[in-house]
Amino acid sequence: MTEFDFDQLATRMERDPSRPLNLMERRRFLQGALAAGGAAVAVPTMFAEQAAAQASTDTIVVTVTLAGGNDGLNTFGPFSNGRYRDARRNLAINPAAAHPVGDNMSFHPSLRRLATRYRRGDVAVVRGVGEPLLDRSHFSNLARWQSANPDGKIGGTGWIGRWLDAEAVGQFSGLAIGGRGVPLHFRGNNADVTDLPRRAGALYGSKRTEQRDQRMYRAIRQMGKEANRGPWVNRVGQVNAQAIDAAQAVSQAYKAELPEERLVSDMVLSARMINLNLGTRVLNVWQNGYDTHDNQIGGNSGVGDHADLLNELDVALDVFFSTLTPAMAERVVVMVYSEFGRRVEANGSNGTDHGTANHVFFLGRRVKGGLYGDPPPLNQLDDRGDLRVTMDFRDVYATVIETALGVSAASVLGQGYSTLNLIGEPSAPESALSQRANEIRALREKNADDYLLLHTPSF
Amino acid sequence: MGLNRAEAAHLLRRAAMGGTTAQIDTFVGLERPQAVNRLLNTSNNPALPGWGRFDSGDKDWVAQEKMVEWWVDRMVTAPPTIEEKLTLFLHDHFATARDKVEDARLMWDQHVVLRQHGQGSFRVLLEKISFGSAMLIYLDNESNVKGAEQENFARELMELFTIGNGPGRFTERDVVAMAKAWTGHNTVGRTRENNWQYDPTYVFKPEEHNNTTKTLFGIAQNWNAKDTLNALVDPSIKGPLTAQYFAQKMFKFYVHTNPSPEVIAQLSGDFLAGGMNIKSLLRDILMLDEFWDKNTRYALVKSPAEFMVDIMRRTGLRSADDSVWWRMQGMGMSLFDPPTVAGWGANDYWLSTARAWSKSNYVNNLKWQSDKRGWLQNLDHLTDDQVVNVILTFFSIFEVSDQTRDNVKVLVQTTREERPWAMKYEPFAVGMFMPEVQCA
Repeated sequence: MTEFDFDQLATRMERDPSRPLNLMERRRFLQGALAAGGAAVAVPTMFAEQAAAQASTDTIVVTVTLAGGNDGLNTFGPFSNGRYRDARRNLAINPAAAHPVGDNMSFHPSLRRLATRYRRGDVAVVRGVGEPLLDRSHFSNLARWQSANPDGKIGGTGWIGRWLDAEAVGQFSGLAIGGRGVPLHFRGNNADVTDLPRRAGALYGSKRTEQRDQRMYRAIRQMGKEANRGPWVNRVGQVNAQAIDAAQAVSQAYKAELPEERLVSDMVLSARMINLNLGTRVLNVWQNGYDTHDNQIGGNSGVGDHADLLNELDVALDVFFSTLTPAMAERVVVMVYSEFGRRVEANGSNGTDHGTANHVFFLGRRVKGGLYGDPPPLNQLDDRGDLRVTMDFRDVYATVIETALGVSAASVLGQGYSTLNLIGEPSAPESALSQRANEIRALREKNADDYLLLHTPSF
Repeated sequence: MGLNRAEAAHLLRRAAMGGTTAQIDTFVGLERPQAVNRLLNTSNNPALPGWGRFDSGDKDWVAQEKMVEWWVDRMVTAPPTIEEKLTLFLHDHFATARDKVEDARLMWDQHVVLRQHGQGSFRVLLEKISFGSAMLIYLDNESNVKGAEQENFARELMELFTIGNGPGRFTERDVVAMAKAWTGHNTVGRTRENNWQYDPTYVFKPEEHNNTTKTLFGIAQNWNAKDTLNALVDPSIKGPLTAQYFAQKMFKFYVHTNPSPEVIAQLSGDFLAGGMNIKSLLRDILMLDEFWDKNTRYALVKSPAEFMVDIMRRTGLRSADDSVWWRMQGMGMSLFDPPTVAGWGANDYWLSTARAWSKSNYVNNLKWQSDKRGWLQNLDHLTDDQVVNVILTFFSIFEVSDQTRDNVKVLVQTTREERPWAMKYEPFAVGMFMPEVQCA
């Protein structure tokens, strides 16, 4: 991983971001959809969903899963604090390079753009979030975080999956971005989540206009219907059919080139899918690599793996917002979380071992910026030298479920939890955006007519 | 009464990497123990190549790609035995990724260990893997030293390789003690003598070892690395839990994902009593009535390796004919690069639209070769029902739902009527799209 040239990236985006279809393209798109005989069932459904979504002001939730256990203390911390510096030794962040935001707290030097957003009031940091830890395993912690089952059982369904079971209106309600399969927190009992590959290649099923494939599409769809077969034979058939149904709509998001960097690409793809207005309410994006037992500093780039990861995250979040249409940018709330934080004490091999409490970050115009929750005190660690959890992660979920997804937390989590007053009406306009982002935004607005055309059903 | 075709096909799909209809037929009529024993005999398998076959200088990922191609071709061409499937299972169990190790040669060394010791004692295999350079690097024990303990390996050794996670299995204090016991078991690393080049050879550095009393599993003594491995398999310490965890994992890989506690208790009891011989455990699993139950057939989704190897064997294709590594990665599987130390998942793990698109693109690209290569050709003189039977036999599907059969037949009928020249391609393609072909 290397330092990204944001301006260069933005230029690439500007050339053809998720450019709306012009009139001619839109007509072709619609004609193609209507002409596809075999697609006669699926495509109108898609447009019906689109019509329903068109006037929606429902909040769209993007979860960014930092896999491996992000070092929250070095991501957003009291970098001048003596206890912090003693514990972190050579891993301690240089306060002079960090981005202070008040309360003696600063963002990591890599998170310049996030700090700017914070100062603008679009970022909330919830501190001390965690769970009553039984262990410090990646797998059981991530599974507990993602499932949040009422009965405490690990695995099975996930908290967003259970919401989708009740609320999904189609196969685009929930999107897994990046082709890594459907993450546990998006798994429900019957909700179909569409997993979008990082690169489209040929999306089999997207060539609805070509007669030659219609018979095969039909056969695959029919073999995907529930039947008296084993459960996994049925399920394989269903997913193959689901892919055929989704292909044409999804292919729109891949028409323009995507950036090289993994997370940036996945976030741009997320924004484009949201812009397509297919009724999407929840998306997940992964960023892997946070298990920094070593090379947290140093490493391949010399700066350190953690700094590189956060730099990519910082760029990706910014490009995500600048790729969204203005209308969609109003509706999106991003939640950045990880399965646990790291040990306060550095481990001696330029890294940190698994810890406990962590920050959860929220971004978006509907987010009431600022600090939430009690910071776990650095002078009152638990018996292993870890931060004490001061907020149940399910309080954070309840906040998302009730104030962003609009249902009672009990329906998803089995019982009510206290919520934070964190998501509300859109905050002030994004005047403080970077000049480049503003230029991109202006370009978009100039094309607003095209957006309207695309999103107004004509039949 | 010996095996019928459906049973023989099931055995080869599960215990081995599948087989053609001709290979399956050589198992028809055998009794279960005969058939299983034949697969357990790996003594006639081809010898392994040396590292030189893959060495690509500093292009380490090229070496990995060559290793993937070699392995896939071997899975395709070696006579059906347990070896390839078992090696895949063990690679998944002791998941190690070149992506982090950054040295394909060390991955190759580990692969050789999986083959040489994979059918023997679990204890020996565990030691060879734990002290292997690939694992030392992958889980950071290379830098686990006294005073700066590093818990990565210590935790996964217990959670994923032996005891398994859960109440009463191991504690966070055990993780701390285990990490201390493994201090000093490092790699040579960068030394002046070596011109500061990284040397991945295992070495014990006494001065870096925590040579004090630690309390592990409630036992206070001066634990060192090998003592901990003994404790993990000792019937009076953690052996029963290790046997249970490993037997359960193997059952889920070979039979189905929802075993009863009773069957696991039976398997793990015998496994432990027999000194934890992996091949014996596998034999016990393959001899279970539950393994042969009709409901067990197609109860697992094929992993991308299983799916591609099955197709390649039937078609005569080899790695050189396609970018196997790239195809398989799109479907979610990169050999020698499992996604995490927990390896790959099962069933649902392989199912998503993204993975379906990759699989479907593979199928759709491949079908254009059917004419040239003679797969399912010259069907004109057959009735529609006969064509369906030819397709099912080509893919060794000996039991199929009415729904699948009817839809394959509709495709054949309509293709004949509307686009007869496509009969060169579509029977092959629809066969690969059958959900039964994509299950094991």
